[in-house]
Amino acid sequence: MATISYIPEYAAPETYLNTRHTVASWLLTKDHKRIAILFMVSITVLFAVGGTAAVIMRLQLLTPHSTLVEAETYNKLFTLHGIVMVFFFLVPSIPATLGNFLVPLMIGARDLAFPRINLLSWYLYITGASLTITCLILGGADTGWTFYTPYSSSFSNTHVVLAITGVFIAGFSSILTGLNFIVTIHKMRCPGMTWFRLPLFIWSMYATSIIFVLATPVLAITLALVCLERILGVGIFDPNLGGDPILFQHLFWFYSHPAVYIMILPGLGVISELVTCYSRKAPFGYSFIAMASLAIAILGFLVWAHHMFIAGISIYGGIVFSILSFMVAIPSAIKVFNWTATLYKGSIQLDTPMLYALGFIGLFTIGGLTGLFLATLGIDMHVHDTYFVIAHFHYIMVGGAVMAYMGGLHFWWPKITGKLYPEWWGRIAALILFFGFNLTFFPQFLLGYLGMPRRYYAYAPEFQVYNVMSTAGASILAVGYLLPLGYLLWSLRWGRTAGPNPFKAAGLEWTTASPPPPDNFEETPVAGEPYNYHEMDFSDV
Amino acid sequence: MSDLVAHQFDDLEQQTEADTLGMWTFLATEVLFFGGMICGYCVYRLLYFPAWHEGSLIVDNFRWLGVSSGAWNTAVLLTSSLTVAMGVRAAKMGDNQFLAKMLVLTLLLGIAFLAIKAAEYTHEYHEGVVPGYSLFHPDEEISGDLRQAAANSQIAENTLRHEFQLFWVFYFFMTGVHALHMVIGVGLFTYLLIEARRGRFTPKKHAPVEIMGLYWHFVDLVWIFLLPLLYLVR
Amino acid sequence: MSEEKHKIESVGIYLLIYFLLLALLIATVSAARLDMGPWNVVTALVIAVAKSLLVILFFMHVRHNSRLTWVFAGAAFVWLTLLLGLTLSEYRFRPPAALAHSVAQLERTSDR
Repeated sequence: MATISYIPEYAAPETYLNTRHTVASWLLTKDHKRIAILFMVSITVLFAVGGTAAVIMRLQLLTPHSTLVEAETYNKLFTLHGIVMVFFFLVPSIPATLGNFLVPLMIGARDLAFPRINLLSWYLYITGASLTITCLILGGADTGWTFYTPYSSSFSNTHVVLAITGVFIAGFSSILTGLNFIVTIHKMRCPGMTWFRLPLFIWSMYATSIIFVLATPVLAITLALVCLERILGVGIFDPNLGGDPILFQHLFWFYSHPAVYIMILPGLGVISELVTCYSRKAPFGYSFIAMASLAIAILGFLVWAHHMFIAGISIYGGIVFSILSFMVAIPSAIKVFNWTATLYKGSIQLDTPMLYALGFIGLFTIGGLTGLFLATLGIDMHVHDTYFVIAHFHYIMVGGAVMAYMGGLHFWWPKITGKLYPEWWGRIAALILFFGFNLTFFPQFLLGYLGMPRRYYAYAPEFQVYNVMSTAGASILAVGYLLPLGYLLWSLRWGRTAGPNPFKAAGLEWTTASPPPPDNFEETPVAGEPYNYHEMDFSDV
Repeated sequence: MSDLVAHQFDDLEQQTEADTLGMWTFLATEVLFFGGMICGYCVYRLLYFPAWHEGSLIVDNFRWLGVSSGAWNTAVLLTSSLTVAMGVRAAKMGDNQFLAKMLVLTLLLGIAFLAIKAAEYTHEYHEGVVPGYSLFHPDEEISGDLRQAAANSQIAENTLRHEFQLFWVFYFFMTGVHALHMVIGVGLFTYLLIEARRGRFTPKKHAPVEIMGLYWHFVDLVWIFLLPLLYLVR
Repeated sequence: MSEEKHKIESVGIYLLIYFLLLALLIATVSAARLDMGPWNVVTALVIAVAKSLLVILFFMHVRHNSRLTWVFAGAAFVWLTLLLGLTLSEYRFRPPAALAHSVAQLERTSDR
């Protein structure tokens, strides 16, 4: 189809961005692409809130007995950081932004199956976020994002119900997103798009949606029970009144462990797209990668009690969950092996998205391997509730998920906005991010192993060196996040105009204009084999 | 409700299939939603069987003509599932008049269910078993039964009282959330009735009736399990 | 896929299923009057499962639906089984003392 650059300014083609400009046309949109942008802006704001909490925490931890904040305030900070980052950033990040934007495009559809439900999903997210911000303004909650009972249900004097209600409503936002994706992927694939021709990103979105739909309701009901206990003064989880706090943990982690797979699966999908494009090769073992996504989603439901090894569960339960936790590492490892095999003898382009992808592979591997440490009962006994755990999940969530989000954001930026970001700034920011991340979180493995507990506002003096390194790293990490915020916004106004396929990538989304017209395609595409890089001509690059 | 196919769909058949699959996916989320409550309920039943037994006897003791309100409610809901199925059948044949009759019956049965539930709750309120630190004060007869049960099972009476209150927390929560779903169902079916009265359904365009019918049947299914779990602990 | 939309169940089948459901209701209420020890809960649940299969297969038309619907309906119950099964088995395998009212025995006079 004709490239945009031949069309003069005064006859600019209709895209989803320029079609209507009123506020109502954005706030009442049913276009999945606009809803993706609404989400993108919202989660960026929430990321800043959660990030600010982290900055204050890291400043507090510069010295062993800092008086920057009081102990109670510190508790509120890590609670806020956890709630905002988990429920209002990581869970929706790739699915509600890149997923919402790309799922219909990648399968050749005009929109998702239920556009109004998609918009409802955004409004639920905003409602939940508003309640959480209100909770913050009124003084916050101090229970930790895990809301463990009986502290959260009986003893905490902070705004627990408000925080829980915010999370409860946000949960329904994600359930609706998952529902929408599942039905769309089943029923709205274009002609020729069989299951095994779907991009791997779609397989990841599908697997993530399974978790959205089956895990989130359990969290909702569990949090409702905590609210009930606080309001009625009954003892659902209070030992003094007959309740069992471990029951809360079972129900909470039944959601929250699969939730971490919600947070990483979309990232794994993005990486598959990036690694293939920037190696100019089809993925090695496509069907294995696809099936591994489903395996992670399903096996992820069977391991939740590994968060409870020292809580008092039966030892047989511990053994079973430990074995299952080892098994869930296997499909992730398969993905890493397959990406590596894809890279092998590929034509590697070290563009910004690829730098993020390569960083992801290394950091995700470290995070995953340390997960195996934690799955081992004997080691977990020693490092549970220490900074080792914190380092482990930040390697996956930040070194993994956030980097994948950044890589995907850059990769699809031209498709979403029609503009190219400045490549050298992109590369520099990626490197700064990588360096800052490792300086922040690697010392935390050492801290944890040496015994520094998590969620403490003060620590023994011998831990100071690593804490200082970590805070220094955090400041570099912050630069790594601010730079893209800067140059991406800059590119909206002054960036070079992008054609339909500036990176010579495979996939239906690259066959339509950048940005796409409101109905995505001029005419319904017919799908062929995916990742047909061997057929493409790269001689002019 | 026009005959237009929404713009994201290629044809009516795709739209119907997508809508139906969407409802089934939603019902799957509901299974897990109720499932969380049921899990908590089952754990405590395992741990506190004597208290659960006592609670269940009282729940089952609100009777009319010798049959407990729980059984009556089950009969009401099963009948409503029949009327829904008959209504969907009418919609598939384009018979809006018969459909409307079936929808009216369904609504009446749904309201009957809620009325019986309200009577149950009122009765239980008067017995003093509504949980909450200011509300929970079981009457003489029940307290006597509890004392007896505590002695039989060799549990401290105070402990049994707390476990007994926990039963009521789950009873009211589970039936309350279920009743909320019934209310939503009544709302949805009122909408269907209005549309049926306007003769809107045809063999081609009967999908909304079938899909909302699925929701109603699901609410019935939940109750089918709540009956033995809450009323028939022996 | 399209035949299921045109498949109209007969009134007779619906009525038959309805009376079967009522019969099962009477059965479960009657069985509760008998003291069968641990078999009470088994009977009650088996009957409940039978009732739900009748509703799902006939009233919700899953009998005529595609395999996809079967998978979705089935998956929900499989997941519920996972939740209940794994959680309850963790409790089941606790040491006996943990199972027998080892929660705090209250001697307080006030409720909280």
